[in-house]
Amino acid sequence: MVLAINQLQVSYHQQTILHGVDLNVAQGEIVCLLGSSGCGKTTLLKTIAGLTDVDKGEIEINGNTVNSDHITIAPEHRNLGMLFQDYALFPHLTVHENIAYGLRRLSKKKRNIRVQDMLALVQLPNISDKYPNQLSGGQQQRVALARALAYQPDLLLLDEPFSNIDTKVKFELIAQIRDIIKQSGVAAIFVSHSKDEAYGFADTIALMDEGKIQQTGSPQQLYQQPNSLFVARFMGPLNEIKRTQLPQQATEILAQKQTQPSENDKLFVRPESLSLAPIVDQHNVELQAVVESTTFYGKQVTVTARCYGEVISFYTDSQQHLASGDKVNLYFSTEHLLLAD
Amino acid sequence: MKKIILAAALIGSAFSALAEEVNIYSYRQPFLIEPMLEKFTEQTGIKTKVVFASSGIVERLQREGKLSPADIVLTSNFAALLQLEEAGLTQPINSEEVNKNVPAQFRDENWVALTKRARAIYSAKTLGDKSDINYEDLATAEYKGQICTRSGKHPYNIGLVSSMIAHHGEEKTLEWLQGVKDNLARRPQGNDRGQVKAIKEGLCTVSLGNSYYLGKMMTDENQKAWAEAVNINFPNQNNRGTHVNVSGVVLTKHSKNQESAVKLIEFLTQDTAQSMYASVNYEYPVKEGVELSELVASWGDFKVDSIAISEAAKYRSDALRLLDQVKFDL
Amino acid sequence: MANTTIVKRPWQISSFLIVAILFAPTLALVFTAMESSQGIFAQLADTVLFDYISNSILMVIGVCLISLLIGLPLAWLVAMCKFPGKRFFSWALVLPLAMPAYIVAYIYSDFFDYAGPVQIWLRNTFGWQSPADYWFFDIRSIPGASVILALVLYPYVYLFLRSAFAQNNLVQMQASRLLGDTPWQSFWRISIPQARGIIVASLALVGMETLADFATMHYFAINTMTTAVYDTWLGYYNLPAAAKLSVLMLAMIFLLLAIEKRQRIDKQNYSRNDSFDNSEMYQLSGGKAWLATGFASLVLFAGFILPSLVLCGFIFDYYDQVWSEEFIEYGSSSLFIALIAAVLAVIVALIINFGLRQSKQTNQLKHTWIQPLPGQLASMGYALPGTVLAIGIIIPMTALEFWSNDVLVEWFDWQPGLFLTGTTFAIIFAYVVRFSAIPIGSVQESMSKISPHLDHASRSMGAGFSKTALRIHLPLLKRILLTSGLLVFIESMKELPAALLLRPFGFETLATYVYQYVSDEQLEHASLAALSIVILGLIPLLIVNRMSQDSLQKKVNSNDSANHNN
Repeated sequence: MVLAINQLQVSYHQQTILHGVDLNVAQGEIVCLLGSSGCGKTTLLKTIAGLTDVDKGEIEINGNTVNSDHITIAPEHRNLGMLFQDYALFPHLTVHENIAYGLRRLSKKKRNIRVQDMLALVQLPNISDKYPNQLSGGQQQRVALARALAYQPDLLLLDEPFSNIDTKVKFELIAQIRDIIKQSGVAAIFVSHSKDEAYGFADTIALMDEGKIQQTGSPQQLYQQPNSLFVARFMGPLNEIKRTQLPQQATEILAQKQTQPSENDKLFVRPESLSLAPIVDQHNVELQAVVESTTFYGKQVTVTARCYGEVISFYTDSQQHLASGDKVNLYFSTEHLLLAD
Repeated sequence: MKKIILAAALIGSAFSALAEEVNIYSYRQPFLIEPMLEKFTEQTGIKTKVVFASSGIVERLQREGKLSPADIVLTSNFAALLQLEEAGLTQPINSEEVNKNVPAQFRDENWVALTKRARAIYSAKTLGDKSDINYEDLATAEYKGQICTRSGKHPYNIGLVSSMIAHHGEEKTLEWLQGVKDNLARRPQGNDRGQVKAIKEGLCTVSLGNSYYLGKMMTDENQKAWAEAVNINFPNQNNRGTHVNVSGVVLTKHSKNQESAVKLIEFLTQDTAQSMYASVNYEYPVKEGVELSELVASWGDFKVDSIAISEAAKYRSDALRLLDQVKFDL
Repeated sequence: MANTTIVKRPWQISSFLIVAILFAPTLALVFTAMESSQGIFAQLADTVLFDYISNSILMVIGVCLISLLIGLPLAWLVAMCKFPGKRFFSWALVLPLAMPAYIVAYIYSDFFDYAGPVQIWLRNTFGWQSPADYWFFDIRSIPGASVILALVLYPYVYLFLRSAFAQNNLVQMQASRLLGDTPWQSFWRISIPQARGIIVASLALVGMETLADFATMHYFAINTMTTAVYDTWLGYYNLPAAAKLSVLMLAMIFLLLAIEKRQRIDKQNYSRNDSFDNSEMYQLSGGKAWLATGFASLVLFAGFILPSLVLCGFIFDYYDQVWSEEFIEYGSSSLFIALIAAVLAVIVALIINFGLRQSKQTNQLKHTWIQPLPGQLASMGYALPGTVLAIGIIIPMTALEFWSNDVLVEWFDWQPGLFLTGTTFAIIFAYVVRFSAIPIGSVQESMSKISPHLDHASRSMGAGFSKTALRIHLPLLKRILLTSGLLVFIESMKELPAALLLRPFGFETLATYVYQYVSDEQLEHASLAALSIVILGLIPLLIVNRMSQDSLQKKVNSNDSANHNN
């Protein structure tokens, strides 16, 4: 394990921010700390970096304890790389000097080679003499990444790395940076509030809420097998239909499926699991709904409909022409029910 | 903005006076002259207003010209009197009373001296009797590292150097100045009083200082010990006499309250004010027959430099040049 | 055509007008300097001028160096570290600013003189008899004066750097820590280089204050350019020679300002104000913490507590002589003119900086070097020693008075007399000329952080430049206006030479009242008045400090956009 966190508790101004967090990161793994603002994800990142003090619990990096009851290792001795939200490039230094900043122990020759390697890695070969304010936002970010990687950290920390990037180029950049990190083989943790960034960037997502990690797993796991309603709702659009409203046929089929006791009065299903075409399957459930509105997205159409009193949504392809007031039958397989066994 | 300027202008109080009053520009500290001014107002009902400045009064008067509110200028040394006269900022005082009170050598058409003070040499009591000391002796090897003095460029010292030039010529004076400078115990600093304090502490054994400082120190509880450590000596008693400086007063050229101003000048030359100078500030009155303070009288009578102050004052800028030449203060 | 441009740029035009007024005294001096000095200047140049210049330069270097050595570590400690008493020191370390330097000088020379208690004690203890028996530093020397001035001037460095350290680069420091820097390395490699501009700017202030200081230098008998101006003017009665010396000093100031200017270029603030919490401060412990507390205590004691105690001691010893009825009157006069001067200086600073922004935005000036000219010229007054400034003011002001008297007598048969130099107007004007450099500089600094996007936004909604200035910039600048205004107030309370020379009849400030005693080496008798200057100056000082601390918490969030629109 590159990183092992055990029962971490952190507070600030007498207020507990993190309540017993556990997290493991393996070599080469990219983990996303996902959550809305105030959930404690940035605090967790800063705690790993050694920028915040710990109340209880342990942190190990590469087998070395950096935080425990007796030990607090200073940030500079943790061998971490960090990519800040605003990149934190030093404005008074050139790109070259920024990247070489943490390399003072290397000989000048080796240092130059490393800087050139890093610039090649981030595909910005010819800018080493420029100052940060002469670069575009995307270039600044890649320089910051080069600076962090040049240091050859055991673990790379990224604080909301994409929040300042245009949506248009964001996903291109996510892919690029993911490639760079994967090439360098370093393990990384990044903080984000956007599930879309997490899907595109992370091998593993740790979804946080109220100072705890609610669920850890691959993006698919969290989307398809959430362990709580919170996770299910956070990871994507969710249709929630009260069971008491359902027709006889549906109730019977559904009875074969156990849902989690706390949520047993509702059924939860992703919009893409609802289909206009009947499924020839014993798990097939049929629902009636009335179309309320449609939104055209090019290759697909998102339909909002009323179904036994609840507002639900589903997708159709753009060939289908549904209009407000149309009555439709919707089908789904109980295999696709969320929060159910 | 306009309103603020207007308000500021209104608050300032120096519009031409309506009541009978005299406006005074003073080189002398207010606490020295206020007792006399109060007496004056008491006697005559004429009010006085004072602006004290240790520098720049002449310049200010010059610029204010005919609009100047000042009626008289009180100076603390002779050079300033002369400067005012030369700059054409004075007018004749024309007062029988003044002429009667002040001996001719201490007045001119355009200025009147009010008090005299001797440029004395203070010596440590441990040196024994030095009453036969001469200014010239200060440049001799006897006082190597023993002399304390204030800045050479203070008017009192400039006056002394001017009188040296008047007696000995420039070349000899330059030599003398260099000799004094080489004998200094420390860089010129502080005022005359501070030098006596230094003698008391053993930093030096002789210092230059105006006579009245001894009186001031004798009557200050904390400074009495300093004064008791020294003897006051009036130099050159066996030859030309001790250099004397004066404080004085002029009537400004553009005075708007001439009559009251002359009254004040007359008052300052009369017995009451003259004896107050003697008793408050331990100076020598210019009016003959005015009683000295007991303390001042105890220092004994002394012979005054034979060359008139106005004669010596001509060498003022030469004195400054010589002081710069030997870098006296540096 | 010309008319329409004027109408379109009222701020720019009025800023040039104001500068013309504020610069008039300097100009008058320059013209006076061109008159013949009848050989006096040449004579000075042959003898003592070089010593005067080198003394001035040594003083500036000495005071700047010591101020930096005191102010920079203190600013760093207070901004970044936790140590015992930090909250107290955070504001208390500003206090020495309220101490007039000449009072501190008086007290310390009394203390460390040969005849002072320290040396007497040493002699008694070790049985030394005369100065030949031992060596003791001479307080009335360039190093001694440098320490004294630095003790009261370091707060400039401290105040400037404290906010610079706390505001700017926390994230960057974290970044450097994560790249392997120890706190110490990160201080040298990140904080110091980035604060360089602020360091130089604050030292330029300290340097100018040092050059302009008369009372302390005079008291310590150190011959500098400023005292030389006095000597030449009052000794030789030669104004042109004095003016020549003043112009030489102005050249030195120009040099200081030019250096400061260079440092300001390209100093872009990159940090996006990531929410920073105090938990990232260094928690000092054990010996280090007490070292920090000890250092701060020592500075505070030397610069403020000891002088205050001595003043209190004088009051106690001479209690029957220090009180006088006029005292309240002097106090309120001081307060009054200092307040007006502060308000006017702030207004001047606003107009000049609005003018600068307007000229930058309209870009109608072909020559860009003209743009910052008003600010630079108006700041020159800061460097003028009070007496020099007073002469410079009297020359054009009396000329104006003569002219208007002539006109008014001819037309209305009314002679208003000296309605400028005969009133407090002259003093207030002198203070504005002398001290508006403080708000001009700090407003400029703050204004450069206001994103041009705000202007564009406001103007796109139909607000003109003036409306934008008053409704957008003014509220954003409120804090810095108050802060710099209060600094002007404090300086005006302490100012001496100009007040001495320019005050009207019967008008006395606390400073002039104290000075007549100090000049006679009898501070004891004016100790209560001296303490009043300090106390009256303390109140605004504490407010200033409060504000600059608040601003650490609520940070202005607009400084990033400037970087992205290039």
